[in-house]
Amino acid sequence: MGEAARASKRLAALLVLLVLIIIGLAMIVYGFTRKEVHAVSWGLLVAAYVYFALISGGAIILEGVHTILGYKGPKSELGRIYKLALWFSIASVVCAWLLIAAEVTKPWIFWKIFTEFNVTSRIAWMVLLYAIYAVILVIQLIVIIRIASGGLEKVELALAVLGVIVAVALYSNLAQVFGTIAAVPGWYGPHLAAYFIVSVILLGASGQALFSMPYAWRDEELKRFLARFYGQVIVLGVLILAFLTIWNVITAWYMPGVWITYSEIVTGAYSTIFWVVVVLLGIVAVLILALYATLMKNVIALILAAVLALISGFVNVYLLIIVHQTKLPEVLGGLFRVAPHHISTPEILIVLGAIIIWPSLYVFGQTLLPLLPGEKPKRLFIFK
Amino acid sequence: MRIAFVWDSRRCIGCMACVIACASANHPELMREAKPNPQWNWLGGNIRVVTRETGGRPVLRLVSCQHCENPPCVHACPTGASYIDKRTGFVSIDYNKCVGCKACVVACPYGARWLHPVNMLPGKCPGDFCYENKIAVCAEVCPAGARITGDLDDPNSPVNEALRKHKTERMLEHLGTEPKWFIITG
Repeated sequence: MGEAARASKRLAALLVLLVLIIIGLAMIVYGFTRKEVHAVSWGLLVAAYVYFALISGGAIILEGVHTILGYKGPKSELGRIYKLALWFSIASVVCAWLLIAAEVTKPWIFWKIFTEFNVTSRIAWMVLLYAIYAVILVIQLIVIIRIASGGLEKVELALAVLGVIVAVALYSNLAQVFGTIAAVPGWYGPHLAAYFIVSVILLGASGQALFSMPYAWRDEELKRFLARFYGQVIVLGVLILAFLTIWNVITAWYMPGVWITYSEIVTGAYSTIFWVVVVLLGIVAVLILALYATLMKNVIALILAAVLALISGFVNVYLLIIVHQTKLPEVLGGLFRVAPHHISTPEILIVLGAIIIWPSLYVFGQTLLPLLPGEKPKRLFIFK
Repeated sequence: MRIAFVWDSRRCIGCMACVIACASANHPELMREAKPNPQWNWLGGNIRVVTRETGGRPVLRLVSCQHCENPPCVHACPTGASYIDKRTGFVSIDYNKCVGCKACVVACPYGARWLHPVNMLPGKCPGDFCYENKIAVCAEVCPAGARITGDLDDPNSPVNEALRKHKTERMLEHLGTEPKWFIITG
C-alpha cells in the first residue's frame, strides 16, 4: 500500500472514531440533562466512574515494572507496548472524568474546588491529585514518544517514580472518599484503600491486556509474552482480592451495623450475583484462566481471564458502592433507613456513552500518535 | 452566637404541623405541584419523621439538620459550600459554591439532607424562608409548644433554661458530631 493510500485510510479511520466519540459525548450530555434524583445518592454513575478510574491505574504498574524495576521482557516486549498502555490509562481516566462530570449537578463550576479548596474533603484532594496525575501522564507520554531520540531516560525514571507515588495517593484517596464516611458503615474504615489498590492492579492489567491484544495479535512471540506477563499480574491481583474479600465479609459479620448490608450481598437479594459473578467467575474462573495463561503462555486464556475480571470487577464495584447505601442506620437504634435502588434510562445512556468513547478514544490515539514501535514524531511534534 | 434547637418529646402530640409548615414555607414550589422529596419518599421539606413501634407506646423522632459543631457534611464538602455560619452557628449551604457532588447528603449520619428533585442540589434546615425571616416556622406553628430555639452562648436563652431544667439527649452522640439539637426526655 502506498503512503497516500495509507494516509487516506488513516484519515477515514480518524473520522469514524471522531464520530463515535461525538456520539458518546452526545449520549452523556443528553443523559445529563434528563437525570433524576434517586433514593440512593451515589448510584450507577459513581460506580462506573470508580471503575474507569481504577482501570486507568494500570499503566502506572507497567511503567513501574518497566522503568523503575527495569524489567523489559526477554526481547524488550514491554518496551513495545508501554506507550500504548500509557495512552490506555489516559483514555480510561478521561472516561472516568466524563462520568463524574455527568454525575455532579453543576460540573461547570468544578474549578471552585481549586479556589475554595477544603482540606478535610477527600473529594477536593481527588481533584488536586487527578490534576497532578493527568500532568504526569501527559508528560510521560511526550517523554516516551521523544525518548526514541535518546537522552531522556533519567527524566523518564523520575516521572515513573513520581507517577507511582501519585497513583498510590490518588487511588487510596479515592477509596477513602467512601472509607471516611461514618454514616455508611459498610464503607467506613481503612480496608477500602487496600481493596482499591489491588483492584487497580487487577482491572488495570486486565484492561491493558485486552486493549493491547489487537496490536500484538499478529506477533506470536509478543502474544505469548503478554499471556505470561499479564497472566502473572492478574493471578497476583485476584489472589489478594480474594484474600481481602474473605476478610471483609468475615469482619463484617461481627459488626451488626455493617453486616446489615453485607448480608444483602452475601445471603440476601444480591447474593446470586455476588456468588456467581464476583466469586465464581471473578475470582475462581479468573484465577484458573490466568494461571493457565501464565503457565501455558496461552493468549486465549488470558483474554477470557481479562474479560471476566473486567465484568466481575464492575459488578464488585457496583455492589460496593450501591448496596451499602441501601440500608443505613437510623437515629433510633435497631431501625434502618431503607433506600430502594433502581437504575434510570439517563444513567444507562451516560454509561453507554462512556463505554463507546473508551475504545474509540484509545484507537483514536493509537491512530493519531506515534505509539507503536518504530513510529516517530513528525513535524507536528507529537503527531505521526 | 450558636443557635440551638430543643424538642420536648413529652409535649409533642405528633400532629405533624411542624413538618407541613416547614415544607409549605421553605419549599412551596414542591408543595404546589405535590412533588415529593424522592430521597425520603416524603414531603419536600426539611423535617422527616422516624417512629419505632415496639410493644406499647411508639417512639417518635423528628429529624432535621442537627447543626453539628463537628459536622461530617462540612468536612466532606470539597468547595466549602457547606459551612458553619459564624454569625448563627448554623450549618449552612452557599449554593454559589455547591457543585452538587452529593457528598454532604451521603456523609450526614442523620439523613437530614435531601436532594431537591428539580434543581438537584442539597436541601436542609434552615430553609430559605426561615433563614431570611429569622424564624423557625416549625416552632412557630407547634400547638404544644414542644419546640424551642435559642442561643447556646446566652446563659439566659430559653434553650439554656430548658437544658438546665430537664433531662436531655442528643441523637447519635457516639459519632462525635456534637449536634446542637436536644431532645427533652424527662
